[in-house]
Formats: sequence, structure tokens, C-alpha cells
Amino acid sequence: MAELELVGLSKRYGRDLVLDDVSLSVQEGELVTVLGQSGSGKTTMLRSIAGFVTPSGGDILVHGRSVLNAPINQRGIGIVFQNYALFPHLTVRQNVGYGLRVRRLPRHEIRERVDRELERVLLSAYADRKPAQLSGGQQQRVAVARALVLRPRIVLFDEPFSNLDAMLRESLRRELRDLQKRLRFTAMFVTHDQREAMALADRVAVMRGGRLVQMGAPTDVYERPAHRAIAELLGRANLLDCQTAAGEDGRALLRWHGHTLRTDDDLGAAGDGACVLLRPEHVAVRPGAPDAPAPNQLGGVLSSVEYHGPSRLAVISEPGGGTLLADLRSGPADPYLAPGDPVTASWPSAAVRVIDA
Amino acid sequence: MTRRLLTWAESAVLPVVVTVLVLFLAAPLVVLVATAFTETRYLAFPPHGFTLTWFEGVLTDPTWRAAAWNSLIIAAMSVGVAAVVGAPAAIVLARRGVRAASSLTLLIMVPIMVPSIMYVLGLMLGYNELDVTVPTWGIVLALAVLTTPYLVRTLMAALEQLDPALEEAALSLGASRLRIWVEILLPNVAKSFFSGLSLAFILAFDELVVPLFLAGPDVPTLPVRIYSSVAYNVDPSVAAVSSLLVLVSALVAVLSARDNLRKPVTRKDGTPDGGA
Repeated sequence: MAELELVGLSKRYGRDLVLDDVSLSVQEGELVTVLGQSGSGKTTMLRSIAGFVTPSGGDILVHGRSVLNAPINQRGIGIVFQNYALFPHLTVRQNVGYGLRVRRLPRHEIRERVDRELERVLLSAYADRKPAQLSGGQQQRVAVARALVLRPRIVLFDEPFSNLDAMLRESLRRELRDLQKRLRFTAMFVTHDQREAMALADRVAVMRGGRLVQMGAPTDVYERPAHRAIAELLGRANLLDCQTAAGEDGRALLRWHGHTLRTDDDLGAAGDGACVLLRPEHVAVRPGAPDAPAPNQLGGVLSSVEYHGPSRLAVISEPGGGTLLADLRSGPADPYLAPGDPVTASWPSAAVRVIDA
Repeated sequence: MTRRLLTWAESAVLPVVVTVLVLFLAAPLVVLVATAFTETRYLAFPPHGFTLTWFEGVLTDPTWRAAAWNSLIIAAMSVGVAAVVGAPAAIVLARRGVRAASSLTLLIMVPIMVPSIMYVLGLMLGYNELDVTVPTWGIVLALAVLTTPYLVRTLMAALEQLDPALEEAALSLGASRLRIWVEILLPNVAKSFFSGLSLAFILAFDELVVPLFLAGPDVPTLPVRIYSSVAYNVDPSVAAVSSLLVLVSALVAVLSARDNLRKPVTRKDGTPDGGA
């Protein structure tokens, strides 16, 4: 049974449909990230599940039971907030024990459960500190412990890293992933950062304009985006509008600005035109013009190179007016490429992905 | 470049500011306190000799003591009223999504924008009309109106600084609204509330115009008593009383500022730690 299931969830604010018929499920022990830009409905969805927002339609099931009419604290849901929202005047122990105290559990039981929870998140030594005396990672663990101590079915994370700098985000992200795998809690994590969404997730749910547009493993969503907008949302993408043509060997060909593309994908239903996704990291570049025309290859001029350290992002202009991005892995002896140089770009047919426009 | 310009400006402005502060604020106080120790029967600066007679006289004189007591009671009562009215007002106004909150806030601020003499004249006429004969309560209420804005402002500012997620976090842990206020929100603004109270207390305690116009000699507060003795017989007792008044105000101010001056100890660096 799914720990969390959304069935046709909708939310309307006046005329705006901010959440449009979203259905998804999260399995036990799974970490699902919800990726979307601001206005995609991801926050409204999270707040509906938490109980801060009343949905206009649909249902929310936690472990098979509808929680639409359940009060916030009786939904079996724990929440880790942006900036963690730890109570600044209370110690770590008091923060973690707050929910139990509100539930009027006997003192010794509160103490026991809080101690065990602090042990699980490796914070026993910090039990009597105030949140301000903790590092970012420790604060995160207090927030997680405060949610977990009430034994929720699922923990919701509301963009907890969004106000932090990149380095810290990365280390907190790794720490959270380890913690989630070790304690095996079910989690839904909302973010607008595609790297974060992919790095954390068992499955990524991509939201756009209030709808859930794709859900799948990070590699699936990245490699096989259902839609060109999703391809753009997840990393850099060459999106090439191609015409289809019949090849000599019977296999369909794609034409883009006079260049021929071969794909391993089935072109059956593509019709006259097709949108092709070609990830920049799948494009190889060598100096000089091509010797002879060939499929999955084009000659062009390097119009700019951006150096990123581990890689370089090259923008190639081909004579027909098209541009192609190539992400070149840096090596110890890279050929010197300068803007204006003629180059040849090539890619394997497996990298040519036909997607929905 | 901008940075250097700024530092230059800072280093030039700072001495000026300090000098002005010393000249206009501290110097009169120094003169006042010094004259309280003179051995002459009139105000003399620099003081002739050194004596504590004036302090002794003031502290044992029943009329001065009564005036001090009046001031204390009236200030305390008006701060009490201001707290009872102002705290809930601030709590409501600081909430997001309260309609007309900004206009209501402005309305509460009106007493500090209107010259107090006008306000008091209006009150006098009003009290006359209503035939209010209990001058103490008249003064207390008038002072409460004048000090509430300060209280509301400090408390609102503190509440607005709080992360709105604190409330949601407590809700998600099952706390009731009342519990959230008592256990989560108010403890986090207690210091600001206390400094707002202190500020209101000092203002009420030092206020001259309101008690002078509304009660006059019937309920002489300390500032009223000082005012009348300056007008009728000037002797160093006035300087002694004023010195004590300054001392009390300074003490309250220091007490309330003590916590605010200390920088909060927040660690935002979040260096990866090795766990427990």
C-alpha cells in the first residue's frame, strides 16, 4: 500500500487553477522529490498534504486513509520547514519533545522517545543546546528528529535548503540522503533546484503550471523527458526541430538544417516533424571542418567557449543558422579551441532522443 | 572606492556625532548633577564645596516623596493599561492578512505625531465636559494613550521578525493556537516586550505636560513638583531630585537595552560537523 496517494488533487484560488488534477503515489521508504519552478503548484501541493491549504477537489490518502478532514497533527505527516523553523528558545531536547508534550505523553516516555530519536540522528551530545548553537547540518537533524519522533507515515520537506549557499546545500543534501536511507523513512521533498531534485530522489515528480507532467527515476526523467519543457527544466538541452525523411535502408532519418540525424528511437508516430533532444554532454567536438558529410555530424564555427573547470560549454554555430551546445569534459591535454575556429561536432545515434514537442 | 569613501565619512562623522551628543545631552546633565552637590543655597555651577544635604533633604521631605510615589504609581498604572491594550493590538496587527492593518497601525501612532499639548488641551475640555473628577485615572489613561504606540511598535517589530513557519511547525506538532502563543511566540518576543514596557514606563514617568494640565497641584508627580519648585523657589533640591530622576531613567533604559545590545549568537556558517 502506498504511504501517500494523491487522487486528482486540485486547488483553485478564484480563477487561478494552481493545482490541476494531480495524482501520484509515494511508496514506503521512498524519497520522492517534487521539482518545479515558482508557480508550478509544488508548494500548494505540499501545503495541501500538510493541511495548511484546503484543496478544492480530489483526495489525499495517507496509508490508504483519506486525511482531507483530519486536523494537521492527525494526518500521520511530519514536516521539515524552510530554515527548519526550530523553536529558538527551546533546547534540542525540548524541540524534539514538543509534539510529545502536546500529546500529553507521560514524562518518562517522552524522555525515552526523545533520547532514542536524538541517538538515531547522532545528536545525543547536543541535547541541551539551543538551535542557534548548532551547525546547519545539526539543525537539519533536529528538524528531522522533531518530525520523526511522532512516527509519521511520511515526512514532507519544504525547500529546506533554498536559502543556503551552494556548497552547504550539497553537504546537507548528502547528509539528508544518508539519514533517509539509514532510518528508512518515507519522504517527499519539494525543490526548484533540478540538481537537488535528481541527486536526492528515488523518483522525481516534475510539476509545471499546476500539473504533474512527469514522474520517474531521475535518469528516466533526465534521459527521457516527456516534453521539451521538461527537458529544459532538467539541465541544458539542445532541442532540435527536425523534419522526418525516409532513408535508403528503410530506416527513418531526421533532417535538421540540412544535416542528417539518425536515431535509435522509433519514429513510427512522429509524422512530418519531430522534436529531438540532444544533451550537450553527448556531443563530441574536434577542431577542423568535417572531411566528408556523414549522419550525426556537422561542421560549424565555435562562437563561444565557457570554461567551467571540469567541463567547457561550447556554443557551435552551423552554416544554416542553427546553434548547438556541447558540454566538453576537460582533459589534461585539451586541444586549444578559440571562438571563430572551425569545428566538427558529432554524436552517437543513441543520444538522439525523439520527444513530444 | 565606495568603501573607502564610506570609511572616510564614518571617521569624519563619528566625532561630530559624539561631540554633539556630549554637548547637548551630557553637558546639561553634568551641570545639573554637579550643582546638586553645592553648599550654597542657590544653584551654582561649578558647585561651591561638596555636600549631600540636598539629597538628604529631598529624600526625607514628605512632599518630594509623595511626588515620587505619585509618579511611580501613575507610570506603572498607565504602562499596565498600555500593555493590556497594546499587546493584543500588536498581536493582531502583526499578523499577515489582517485587513486595514496598516491604517490601524497608523491610527495607533497618532498620539506620537500630535503635539502632546494639543492632545492634553483636548482631553481637559473632554474631561470637563464629562465631569470626570478622579484626576489620577484621567492622567493614567492619557499617559497610556501616549505610551501605547511605543509598546505596539516594539512588539509588532519583534513579532514580524519571527519566522511564520514557527507557528506552522507548532501546528503540525499538534499545538493549539493558545498554546502556540503562550509557548512559542510570546517567549520569543518577551525581551522586546519588556524593553517596550520600559520605554513606555520612562516616558510616562518623565511626562510633565499631561499631569501638569490635567491635575496640576492635586496630584503632583515628580516632574510637576520640579516644575513648580523651579517656578517658585529655586534651590539645589531641584537639582538633587532631577539627578535622581535621571539616574532612575538611565537605570531602566540600561536594563531594557542590555539584552538588545548583545548580538544574538547565531551560527549561520553551518560547517559540516562530524556528528555527535
